[in-house]
Amino acid sequence: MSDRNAGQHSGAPSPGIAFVPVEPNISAEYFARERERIFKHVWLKIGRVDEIPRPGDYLVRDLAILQTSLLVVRGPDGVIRAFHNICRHRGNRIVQTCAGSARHFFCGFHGWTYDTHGRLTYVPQEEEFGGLDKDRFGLVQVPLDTWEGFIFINVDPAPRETLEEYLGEVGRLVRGYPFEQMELVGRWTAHIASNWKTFQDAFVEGYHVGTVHRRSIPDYRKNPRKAGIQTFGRHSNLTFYLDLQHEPLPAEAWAFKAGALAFLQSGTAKEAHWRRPAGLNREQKPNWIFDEFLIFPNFHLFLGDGWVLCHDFWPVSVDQTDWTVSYYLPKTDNPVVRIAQEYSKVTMRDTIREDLSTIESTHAAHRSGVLSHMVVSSALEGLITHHHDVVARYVEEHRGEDRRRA
Amino acid sequence: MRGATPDQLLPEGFGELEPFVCEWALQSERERNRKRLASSMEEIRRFYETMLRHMEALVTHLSRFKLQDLPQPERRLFWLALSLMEVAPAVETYASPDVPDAIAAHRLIIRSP
Repeated sequence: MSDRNAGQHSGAPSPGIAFVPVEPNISAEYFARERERIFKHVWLKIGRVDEIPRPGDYLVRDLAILQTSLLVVRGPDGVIRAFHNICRHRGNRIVQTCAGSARHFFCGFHGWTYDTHGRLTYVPQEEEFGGLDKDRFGLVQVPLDTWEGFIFINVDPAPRETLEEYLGEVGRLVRGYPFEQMELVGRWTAHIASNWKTFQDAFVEGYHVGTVHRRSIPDYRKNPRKAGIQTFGRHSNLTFYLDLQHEPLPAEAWAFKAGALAFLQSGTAKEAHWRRPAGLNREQKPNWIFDEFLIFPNFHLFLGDGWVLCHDFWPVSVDQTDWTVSYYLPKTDNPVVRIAQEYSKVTMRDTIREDLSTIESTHAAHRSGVLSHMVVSSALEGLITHHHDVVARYVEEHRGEDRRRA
Repeated sequence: MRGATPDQLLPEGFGELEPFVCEWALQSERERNRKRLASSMEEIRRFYETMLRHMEALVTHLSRFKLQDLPQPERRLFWLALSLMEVAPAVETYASPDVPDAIAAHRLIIRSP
């Protein structure tokens, strides 16, 4: 797919109608193909380096779509590595917790022990194996790389591309964003009865803002601004604009006064000397609010001035998706700034709860079989079509993966 | 910077907020959200309006401290201010403790630090 990184189409797409088939959102067979032909061969974001800052710090990710549990650990040399969380002896799961810090990993079945490099270091009654070469039986390593502090893995033992090649132009646009100044302030999770694509569709257009967010973002309804959309090969980008016209509400006014740059206040960033990479607000419009990067297949990265929002969509089955949102704001030791940030966090969370209101009923309607297609606007909802098209192309072009696996 | 003496509930000058400490000086987003959802609009408005009257003084007072060095009375005041931000959308945006036409609150699990 690397050739598609070059061919981007840009700017404001012209009005038009597109039909997106519903069948791929409800077919278990199609879901199995997505698993084998997409998820098991692409780079997937599973965390941030600051979640495991010290040697021995680890996290565990149980990923149904990959049919495995992954152990991600920072070694004594400071290098982060990923392994299948599976004992080389008979396959028992090794680490039961979801995060922690350790010098060794000890399998609870027969006591095989591994170090944080993944090397097998101890086997009880080793002599009974008659000359076991422990070097041959370390944990099974998974390719891992990082980008702007985000940890990506690829369970294909020989990835088709490096992470840098995979991210392509999007990787360069985001470069220089001051992630190192940010810290996690909000994290929300949910288990949603929907296909992962239908779920993601709810977060890739601005068209819904006037209705779903009519209470929380009333300025949009008064003055809808068409979001910019641009595709970059398999990835894409939505640029959101909003004319803030309302008088600040009392609590919002306190948040403003304390200088917290957050969510809908992005436009005030000039005064605050926020470092914004050139890849954001590329058209340099004064009413810019954020750029959202849709990193194929399941990671949406929203970047505003002074705020970062990550959506991770993890398919569980054709009808189920685990979802995590992480909200990052600038580190502070000032209690007043922290109070202002709380306003930003709470309004973000409440707004996202509005977003979640439509997803399960949309998926249930697709299951009913009444509609064969969704009808979308190319100008407003072109990124929905784009994502479904990229999924379909992967599924089509990588038929060979099923055979290779067999 | 000198704060209140440790046996005070809140720093000097914030006596009017003391009746709210037990119910609203809550440490985590999860607790604050739960309290908002379990309260009537009358309770929320009473807390919101009283807090707003003290925000000027609260901001002036707390800006003398570092987050990690807040004495206990200042810490309670800080938590009250976080609860004000939690209930602000209920009053200013939704006119309802909960978010209308949203996914049920219990479906969203709050795991914020």
